Amino acid sequence: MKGVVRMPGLFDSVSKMLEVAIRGTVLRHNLIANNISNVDTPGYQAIDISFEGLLRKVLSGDVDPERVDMTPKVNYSPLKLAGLDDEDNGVELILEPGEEVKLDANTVDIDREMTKLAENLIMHNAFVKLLNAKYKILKTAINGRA
Amino acid sequence: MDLFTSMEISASGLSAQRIRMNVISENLANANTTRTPQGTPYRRKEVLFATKPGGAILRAGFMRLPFNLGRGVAVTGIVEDKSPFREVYDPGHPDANSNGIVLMPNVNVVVEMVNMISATRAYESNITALSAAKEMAMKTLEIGA
Repeated sequence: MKGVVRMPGLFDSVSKMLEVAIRGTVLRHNLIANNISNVDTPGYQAIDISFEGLLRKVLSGDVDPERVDMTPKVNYSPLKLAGLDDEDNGVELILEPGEEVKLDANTVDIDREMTKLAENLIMHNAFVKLLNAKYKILKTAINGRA
Repeated sequence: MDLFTSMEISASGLSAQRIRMNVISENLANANTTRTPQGTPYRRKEVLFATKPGGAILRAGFMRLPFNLGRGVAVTGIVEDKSPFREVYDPGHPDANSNGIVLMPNVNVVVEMVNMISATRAYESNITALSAAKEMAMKTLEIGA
């Protein structure tokens, strides 16, 4: 079923998508901070999440924003591997490949983590700004031009 | 998982790197100590890091594997380096044996300095992550303002 979720009330799917996006950037920040703090832990597997697909589904109305599952999961289902999985309405966990040659099997690339940290911070600020812009429009509609 | 959790994660990284720095300082300070309360020369110490088990364990569904998300880092122990002591010929030394050999600590100053730089940089990275969490939290408070 496509686009079945109706948005009742004042807030449209863009506002709901921004809400999910802000939750996503906060969760992602947790994972990045965890990767950075474990930069010297032997055998540590660096992790990341992807929630762009989820945002797209919230925006198109395929996923109810009230029922979004923010628990990251590694999806190894054959459908997903074949690129056919359309049932996924959660946050996808990504195991980062260790590109550096490290003797202790730690896969944290500190340069990549710091870049992701800066990028994630900017995205978070952008989402908050956009949400505020949406609310401002709503306020103007309610109050009229005073 | 909120921003306070991520601040805790960064704080655990800071504290772990600080403990590591303390141990490095101790190694450097004792680089020439030939006599300890145990009667041996000073043995180099090392810290062991391990990931703190996280709050969220993933629910295992159809072909979805559980994964421990982790919640920062912890120092699980400080262990002694078992490598042999350095032997230096110095017959005048009070701790020299009958052949004039003095056992010196197994501390390599160059190794300690490299570890010190690594610990400093890792500490700075955690500070940056902490500042970012603070900035994100303050920005979040602006919603609807």
